[in-house]
Amino acid sequence: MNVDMFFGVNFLFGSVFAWIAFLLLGPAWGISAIILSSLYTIQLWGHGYALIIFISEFIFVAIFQGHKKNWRLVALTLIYWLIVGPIAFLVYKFFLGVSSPTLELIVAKQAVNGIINVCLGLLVYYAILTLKFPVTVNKNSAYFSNFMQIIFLSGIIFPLGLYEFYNLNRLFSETIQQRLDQEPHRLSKQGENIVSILDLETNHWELMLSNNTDASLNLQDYEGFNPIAVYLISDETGSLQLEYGENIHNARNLINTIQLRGLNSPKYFVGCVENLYLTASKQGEARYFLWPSPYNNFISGSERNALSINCSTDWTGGSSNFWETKSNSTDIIRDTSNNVSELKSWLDSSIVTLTSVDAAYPTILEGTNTLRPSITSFQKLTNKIMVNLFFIMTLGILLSYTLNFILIARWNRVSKLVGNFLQAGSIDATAFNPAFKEDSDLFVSLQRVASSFSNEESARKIVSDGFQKLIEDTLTPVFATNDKGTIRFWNKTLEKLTGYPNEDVIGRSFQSLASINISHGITDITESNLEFTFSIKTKAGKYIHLSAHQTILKDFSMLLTTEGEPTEDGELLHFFVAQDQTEATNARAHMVHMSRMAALGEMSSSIAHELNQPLNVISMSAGNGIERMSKGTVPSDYLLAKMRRIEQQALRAGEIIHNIREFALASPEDDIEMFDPVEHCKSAVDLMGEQLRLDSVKVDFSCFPGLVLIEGRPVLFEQVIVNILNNAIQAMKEIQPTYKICKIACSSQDNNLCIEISDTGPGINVQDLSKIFDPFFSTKGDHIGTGIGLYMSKTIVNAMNGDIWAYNSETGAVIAMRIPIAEIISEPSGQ
Amino acid sequence: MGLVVIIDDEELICEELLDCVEALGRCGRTFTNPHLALAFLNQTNKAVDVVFVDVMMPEMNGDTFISNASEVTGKKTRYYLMSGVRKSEVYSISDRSENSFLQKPLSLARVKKCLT
Repeated sequence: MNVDMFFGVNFLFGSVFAWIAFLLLGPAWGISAIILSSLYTIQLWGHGYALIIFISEFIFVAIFQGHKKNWRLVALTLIYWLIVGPIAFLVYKFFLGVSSPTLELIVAKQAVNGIINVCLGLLVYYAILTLKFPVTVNKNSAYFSNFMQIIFLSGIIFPLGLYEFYNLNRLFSETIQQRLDQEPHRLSKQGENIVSILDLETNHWELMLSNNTDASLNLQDYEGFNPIAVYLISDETGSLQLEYGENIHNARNLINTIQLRGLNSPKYFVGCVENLYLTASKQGEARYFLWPSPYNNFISGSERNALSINCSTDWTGGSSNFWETKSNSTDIIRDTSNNVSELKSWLDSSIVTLTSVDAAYPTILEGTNTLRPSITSFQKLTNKIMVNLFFIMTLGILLSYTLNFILIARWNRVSKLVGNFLQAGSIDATAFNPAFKEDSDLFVSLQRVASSFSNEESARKIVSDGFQKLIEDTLTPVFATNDKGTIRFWNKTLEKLTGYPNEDVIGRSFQSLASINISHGITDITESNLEFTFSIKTKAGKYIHLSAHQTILKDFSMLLTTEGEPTEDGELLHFFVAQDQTEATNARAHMVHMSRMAALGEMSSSIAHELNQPLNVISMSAGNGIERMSKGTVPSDYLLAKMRRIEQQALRAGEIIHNIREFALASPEDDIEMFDPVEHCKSAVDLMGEQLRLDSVKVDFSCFPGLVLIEGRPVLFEQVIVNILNNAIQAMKEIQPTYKICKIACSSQDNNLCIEISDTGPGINVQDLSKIFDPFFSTKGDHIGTGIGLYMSKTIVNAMNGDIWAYNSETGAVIAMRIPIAEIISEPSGQ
Repeated sequence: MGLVVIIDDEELICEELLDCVEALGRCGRTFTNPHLALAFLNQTNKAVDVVFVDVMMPEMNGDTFISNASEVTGKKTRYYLMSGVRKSEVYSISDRSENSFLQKPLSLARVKKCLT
């Protein structure tokens, strides 16, 4: 963007955009913009030196600006021009051959231009920030103090600069106009002189050319004044014909010739003689008649200032037209070709003025006067103004930085005062100067804030006391831990439930006290808002079961100790609200137990049958032995065989009783342990062995090679398998014995144990598939089954963090389970 | 005196009961598979006086066996159901008379009573 201030003094504003790009988008964009905008200078001024200067200005400022210190931009631009200005002066002088006054102007102008541009760039940047346009800016790079500084500086530079440039422009216009106005007057004065000269010369040459020998002059005295040429119009039709003589003698002959031709109209001609004007005029009834010369030139000592007298050359035909003189005019002649700089064009320009000499002399006086002196003197004035502007800008910049630092110091002082107040809660009255209204206003405001804090503090204390009492006395169990899980708060309800008083618990790790049921991936209760369940062994030795979740209450540090003091280091506390699930848990455990009893009940016939078999053998063996012995001698090997049989069957009966007992007496309170699921699957199948045998159900057991462990209560896991097998046996009641097959398939997938137990029964009704795990749902009829077997199985599997579901296959129903593998002993290869 | 047939899926029980029968001076045959026992009863010429049969057997329970076998053996043959569970727990045998039910474990005296 170029603004031509006056004769070649161009102000370029392209770098404004480069600065805006730099501030908003970063150095890469800024450099691209400055390169693009500087390329224009090559077209404008015809050389690349300005390109180098402007780009290096940008790079210099960008480098020394440092990280996000926009407040340095103006100062760095000034420093750059103070360093580069003299160098540019020398470069322009020696490489471009520019004259010193012009150089002074160019360098001063470029420095002023550079400072104006960076100020404009910063102004736009801060305006964007102030008006909150949606742009992304670097944090901490904009300074309000810098903004004020730029406003101050711009307030000096722009009005002053505009005023000076306006004045310069006006002065220049006035100067030129003045010359334009003065020229005709000056020329007309010369014209008066010329008339006098012309009169004198006319008389002189009349005398010279007359045959009056008395009045004739010694031509030799005028040798130096011989006419260079004499021009005349000799054609009566008015066409121009030039004839000239080379000296006075020839001129005389020529005049005589003219006379002889008998031309009548009075004409004038002016001959050219060095420093003299030759004229001729009608001399009454002179012997000769002279014709006006159409063209004359005066040769003066100066090329530039030339004065010429012309007769009208408008030869339109008709002698009378010849005498029409041109209107007076004054014009500036200037070479405005593209390859001529404006300054040079003005320096080489001239004012050309045309004025008629005299009515008696129908000739035009043309004066050409160079403008160079005026332009040169104007240039000097412009230089002076530009340099003054530069110095004023420099002073303005220094002053603005001074004010900037004062503002920042003041700001920092206020911040420190407020900071101290917030920290200490008190106001240092001596730090304020009441003579200044700002200080006294700030002091009053801080006093008000202090007062309100103190009121708020009291209100807060009341609220916090009430809150503390609330959570202490509520019937809901509430506890709090810090980030590390150390108990910091334990309300009275928890004291009552657990039997542990506050002092026994505060400071202990929560996990050392409670056994947390890790589910839903919760490993750190302080990092989750999900509900979790946990058990605590009370002081009395019983177990209580609770569910809890974290509340949104945080950092009520001051509420939490019995002394009402902040907790150590003001630590962040996590509050948990719990719910006693002991009854529900016990009820569930009872249900699990009852379901086990129910399963045993369903197996009772087979159990009784299985137990009676060995008892029967024992009783019959003993009876047979007694019978034979009572009848006579019994071989000893017979008796031995009977005794052995009795022993074996007794042990067998004991084993059956043991297994049943183990199954029946397992408790949900048993410890969770890692166990081999395949082994316990097989135990469950063994337990069901007699039932399976009696119902002619074949069990097809398949398992992956490898050994994995799952975590849970093994007997409850067996209970799940027993429940499912019982259901399978019931489902296949009506199936032909040959086709009664129960498949148990164990596999591993994605670190989960997968167990599928399928039968060859009729399958499960599709509408019942979603309900079979519901409590008290049974497809077996009212008197068969309790309807809680699968529900309990689901409860047990879920407690092991697993899933259980049912579906129908082509051959019958399938109950599937997926339980996370807790440990891999030997890698299973899937199945 | 006719044959005593013993059917129980537990081989040891068959052995001891046979021993008991023989100790009481009678002849007996044992079967662990009720189908084989039925086949025997169908084809034997011998008179079968008493049949002891276990109630709970895979493939065929005792009650079904009695229903099938009694068509072959006629009314003279006495059938006794042996079971380790209470009579009321064994489905569909509640129609049988109390006298035809033998609660395990069996005593020699009870077996003797059945044979006389």
